[in-house]
Amino acid sequence: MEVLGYKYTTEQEAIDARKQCADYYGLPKTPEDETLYWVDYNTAELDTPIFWYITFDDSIEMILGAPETFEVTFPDTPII
Amino acid sequence: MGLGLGLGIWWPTQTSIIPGLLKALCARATYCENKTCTTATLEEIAAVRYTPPPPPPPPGLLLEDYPGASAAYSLRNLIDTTTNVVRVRRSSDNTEQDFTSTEITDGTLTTFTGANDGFVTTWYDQSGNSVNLMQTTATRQPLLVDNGVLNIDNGKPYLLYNGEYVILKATNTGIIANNGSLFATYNSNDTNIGILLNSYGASLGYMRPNSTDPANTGAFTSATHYTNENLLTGTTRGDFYNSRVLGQDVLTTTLNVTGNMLNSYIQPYAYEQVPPLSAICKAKEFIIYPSDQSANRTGIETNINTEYTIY
Repeated sequence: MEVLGYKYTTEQEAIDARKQCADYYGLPKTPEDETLYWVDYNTAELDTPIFWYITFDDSIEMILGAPETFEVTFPDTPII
Repeated sequence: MGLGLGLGIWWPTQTSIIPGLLKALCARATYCENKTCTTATLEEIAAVRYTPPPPPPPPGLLLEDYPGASAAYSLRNLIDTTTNVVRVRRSSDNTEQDFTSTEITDGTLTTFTGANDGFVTTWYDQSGNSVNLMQTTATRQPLLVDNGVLNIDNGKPYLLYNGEYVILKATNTGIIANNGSLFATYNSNDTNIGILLNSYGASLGYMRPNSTDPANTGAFTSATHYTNENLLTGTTRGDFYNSRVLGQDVLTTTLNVTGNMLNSYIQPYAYEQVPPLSAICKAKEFIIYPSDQSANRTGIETNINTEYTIY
């Protein structure tokens, strides 16, 4: 299935991108707050080689740049 | 002695003094009971006779009448001990604050958000087991206030799940056991919206209220995890599999959950993996019991229906 977003070959790269976005939006705002990140990354665990990706959102284009389109294999039933 | 309506007898007095309507209004009657007599005008008697009966008491709080839930999520109070029902992040500056059910509807919440959005970071468990549903990622939090306006559907507030990754999850598990029962109130606009039962992050299966395909509605990955479910909507109490109820509230009752679900939790889930993500789910109430609630089913459903006017 085609996904628009940002693709990473290592999980650490995805974690770093997630932190970039959180920092940009000042999250977490206080230690007591529940909200830690602005966006989160997903794992394309059914693809070989496995990769990590962040789905596109208008609010992160200014941080992560232009998104790309790539294929992701999804399971038949939702796995969260 | 007051104007009672006991076993005594009324009879008219002074009826011939004043003519017409005035006469009627001023006419008096005497009431005697146990050898004690009272005289009153007909107006006074009518006021006593036609006083309407008091309205029936409202239904009790659901978890007080039907205790023992392992997890319970709602925007109304389900038990007296409930304080906050949700924690909300406002979009203007990402400040978070807890809110009671009263504060959701009395303007306190929308005063907090201003003309901005309010996203739910935590849907507090009212069962007392602290199985709170949470979301730490801002863009995955369900919406409660949209541009300063509280989400209201059929007169009740709701959490809007509007995308595949919008989800609240429990960090602890163990809320559904063998023969557990689920009562879910929500509505959706898409056949791919459902209620997901999860266990250790892997899907056990999901229920979609509007699919005719049993493989979709009962697509548990192992064995049969429930043996009986019914959908209540409109005037129809139909089979879960054969109902299509897009865009209106449904109450799905799942009883006799069987199988290895000891470490699972429940969450509304927008199962639409393919962008664009147009599917939405309006979530109102989810109550989970670790035991079979067949005996209480009618009472629980009546309580829910009294609140949400589903059928």
